[in-house]
Amino acid sequence: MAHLSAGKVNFGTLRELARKDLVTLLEKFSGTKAIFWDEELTGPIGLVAEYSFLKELDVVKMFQLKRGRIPSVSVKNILFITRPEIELMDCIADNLHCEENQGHSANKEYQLIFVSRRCAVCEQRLKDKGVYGTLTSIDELPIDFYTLDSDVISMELDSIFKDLYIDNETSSLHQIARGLMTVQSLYGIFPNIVGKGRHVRNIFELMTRMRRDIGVDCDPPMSPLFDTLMIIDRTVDLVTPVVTQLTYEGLIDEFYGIKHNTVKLPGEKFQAATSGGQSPRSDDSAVKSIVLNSAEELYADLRDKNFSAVGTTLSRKAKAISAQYEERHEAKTVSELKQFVAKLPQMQATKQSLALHTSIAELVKEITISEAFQEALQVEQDLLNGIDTDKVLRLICLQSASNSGLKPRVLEHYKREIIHAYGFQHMVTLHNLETCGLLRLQQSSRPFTVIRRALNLTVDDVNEITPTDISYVHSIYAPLSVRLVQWAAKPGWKQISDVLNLIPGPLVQETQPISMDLRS
Amino acid sequence: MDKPEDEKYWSSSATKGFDFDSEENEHAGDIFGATPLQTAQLSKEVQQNIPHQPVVSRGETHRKLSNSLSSLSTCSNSSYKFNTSQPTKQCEVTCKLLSSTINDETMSSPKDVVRSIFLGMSYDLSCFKKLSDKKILLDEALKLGDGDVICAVLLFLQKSLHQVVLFPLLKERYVAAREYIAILEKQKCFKEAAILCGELQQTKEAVVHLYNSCFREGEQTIQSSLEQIYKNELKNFKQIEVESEIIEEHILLLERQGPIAVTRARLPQSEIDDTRTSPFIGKAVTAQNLVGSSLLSTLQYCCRHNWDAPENLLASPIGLKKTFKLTERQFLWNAFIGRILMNEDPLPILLVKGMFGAPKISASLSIPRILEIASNLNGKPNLFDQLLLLVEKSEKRYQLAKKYQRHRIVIDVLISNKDRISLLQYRDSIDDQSEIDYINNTLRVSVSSVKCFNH
Repeated sequence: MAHLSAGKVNFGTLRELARKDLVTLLEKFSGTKAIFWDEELTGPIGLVAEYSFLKELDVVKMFQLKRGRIPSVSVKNILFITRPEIELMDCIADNLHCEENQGHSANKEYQLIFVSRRCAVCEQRLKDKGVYGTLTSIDELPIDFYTLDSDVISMELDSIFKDLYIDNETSSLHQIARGLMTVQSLYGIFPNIVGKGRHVRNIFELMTRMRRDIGVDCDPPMSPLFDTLMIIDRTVDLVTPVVTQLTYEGLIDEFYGIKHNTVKLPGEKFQAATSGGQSPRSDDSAVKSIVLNSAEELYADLRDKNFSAVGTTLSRKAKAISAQYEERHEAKTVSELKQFVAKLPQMQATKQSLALHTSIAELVKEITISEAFQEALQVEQDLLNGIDTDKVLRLICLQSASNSGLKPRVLEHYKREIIHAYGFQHMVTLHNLETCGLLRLQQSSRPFTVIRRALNLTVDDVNEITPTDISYVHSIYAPLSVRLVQWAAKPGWKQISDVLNLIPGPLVQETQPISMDLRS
Repeated sequence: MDKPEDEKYWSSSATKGFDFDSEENEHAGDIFGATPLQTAQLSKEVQQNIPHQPVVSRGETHRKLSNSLSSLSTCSNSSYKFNTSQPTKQCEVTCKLLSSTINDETMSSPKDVVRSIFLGMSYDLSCFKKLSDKKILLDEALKLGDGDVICAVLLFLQKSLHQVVLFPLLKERYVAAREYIAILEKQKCFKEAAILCGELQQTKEAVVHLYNSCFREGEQTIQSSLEQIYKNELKNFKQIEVESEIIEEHILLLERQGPIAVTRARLPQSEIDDTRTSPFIGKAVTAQNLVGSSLLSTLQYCCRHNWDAPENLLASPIGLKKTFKLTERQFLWNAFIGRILMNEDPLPILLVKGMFGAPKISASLSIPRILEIASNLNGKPNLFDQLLLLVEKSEKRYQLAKKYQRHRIVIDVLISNKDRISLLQYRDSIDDQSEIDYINNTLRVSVSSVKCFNH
């Protein structure tokens, strides 16, 4: 995990803090432990701790949390580690009832741990199910940010958009604010906070309140490593998530899904690439799990390239490796041979990495050259350029976003088509899409057209091989959120204040007081 | 330890979890700074360590706290030692935090209770018995702005207030109302959520909640639940014409699907549904999963098995089209797919009379798309030939014929273009001897009239 410390900011520290919190929590429970995990947490927690780490803390067994009788296990503590979700509380209640029926509950202690915060609704559910008293303790494991790479940290909250914009449930804002407070505690107070969107002000106010509660004299005694915190609400830019990513990593995610730095790919492509080094784990013969992060040099080079440039890069790398292997013929003396042999492990690792990513690139290419993909991409790019046309759900949302809404007749037509083709239950889907703004009626003004021109969101002559502009990631479209960051950095948002007014959500521009001796 | 069982679990997990073979041994770096929750946790632990005494002076409380915190701040005996650079700072912070919250005189004030919830400390809301106190409590929670605190208060109000009293209170507090609707959704109390949405004049959302409530009991009761809400509940809401129509159509569809599925299920095994599937038709619809499938899937199913059924029968495709006001395009596509799946000739469905009575493809459809689907569903060769002949532009016909390897049509286009070179090239590229002979015969017969093209 040394690569986590390799960025401009050492995000390895965040990971260490998370591990510390895990240790602190587990050490509270003396004796042997069995952990029942919410399956969705195994990925994120896997970024923090390995099983060998947990073994040191007397964790003897681990299982997936599911309904019914829990496996018979002779431990002192049963730990349920879970997100605060009602369905998971029902699972736990089921488990505890089974334990009580079998008479095991007298010999064990049952601990419930919420990641990352306790939830009153969930605790009420446990009370309603009659198992609240069976639990010995309820704690929280306050891991808010997971370090995905040397320059990326994530909260891994998959449902947060739905919670905030469809269910109007704001409890996650506290978690965001607390996570940012943790970042501040490690890297210094953010001198400036800017943001755009409905909930940015709420987050800022929560942070301010938390800082006031702790006391300004408890600020971390260091100069801030960050100059500005930018908070951009998802609803500010609803186009980018529905447009196809065309970078190497983006396409792998589009077609196969990258979760917690891991992707599962069809196994038959990788039979030859499974010895040592970055060897994929095989879950079964049909599927290979591969970890993708910047610890692997080749992947770090490839991941952000437009897919058009991947072939050239792999080819160049292959030539470089061949040339290195040929050096063995140049070695004349024993010491030269010794030097060559010393380089062999690195060369073999690079060769294996090259073979792996060549196979992955071939898998991706099989899909990108297909007619269906090309057709859909063409439609996307037409929509981004303001040319109107029609397709299904993701494209419909793109059409709505890029045209600042849909005409009533068009929207009604789409709704009927979707409901007739996919089922009446999608009335709920369509309602949710309208609630969060991904589908909406067109008003008289069309702000996206103005925003597109003013911020140069679509670029015609994109250089995909040696890009000079971020529009290369979609081959035509520069993400709005990225343009906002670029403008904030230079020359500042004041220059685009009229455009900002067209983007949904209030604007926030605040400063946080920092003592003079900490200012760099 | 039952390692194979554990490995099997972790192997089958959708995400990479813990690696049993990892030899990685991490060492801690310096950690500093105190987050509010860490201090709150510390304070909770401290609270638990304080022996219970009925009356404790503030000074004595702080001294005991300091002693407890000092003992807690020492490093653990674990081999993984995490050194905090400022354990003393943590003690000071916690004391400060507690001193601002522990106040014997105002311990049960709404503001203090709400702060306790916010900080993760234990709390007791049962002392708020009067409605006015409950309102103040809710307003304090709303002022704090933390969703979980608002939820905790709302759960208390849910238990202690009747809906008749609670809903008007929430109606005046929109944020609290939205949070409460989210709670009701989680508790699957959709009808109550619908009532509250109605009070907030959000009628469309109310209908969606009522609709969701119909799926709660299981597939057997969906139809009756939908009928019940359609007859009794929807009339309470305004401006829901679109949603109301959707629910009505859903009921009508279920009324047809049930009897169709029952009839098909009684058929002998030899006539049981073909489960062929393709990307164009999605999951195969059979008698077992017909109930609950979409309208167009049902249409396709009826086109397969009940094509000739009279209009008055439930399984009649024409009846479905008229009842649900399907467009010509929707009907033709699904009829076409349904007939191909039964190895029947779908062409009569696709053709309309053009100018001077000549047949042409219906304007709702595109020939390339039809050919694509026919290819995917293993349509008969003569279907391709007949469809390609309807393509007006010869270049387009040529491209499509080449794509689907309809050699005769490719050859005829090249002959009509008098393109000898391309004919020769094409002859060399195919294996079909009859077509090769056809080309050779053509070339022999019309040598003088073939023009050379450079491609």
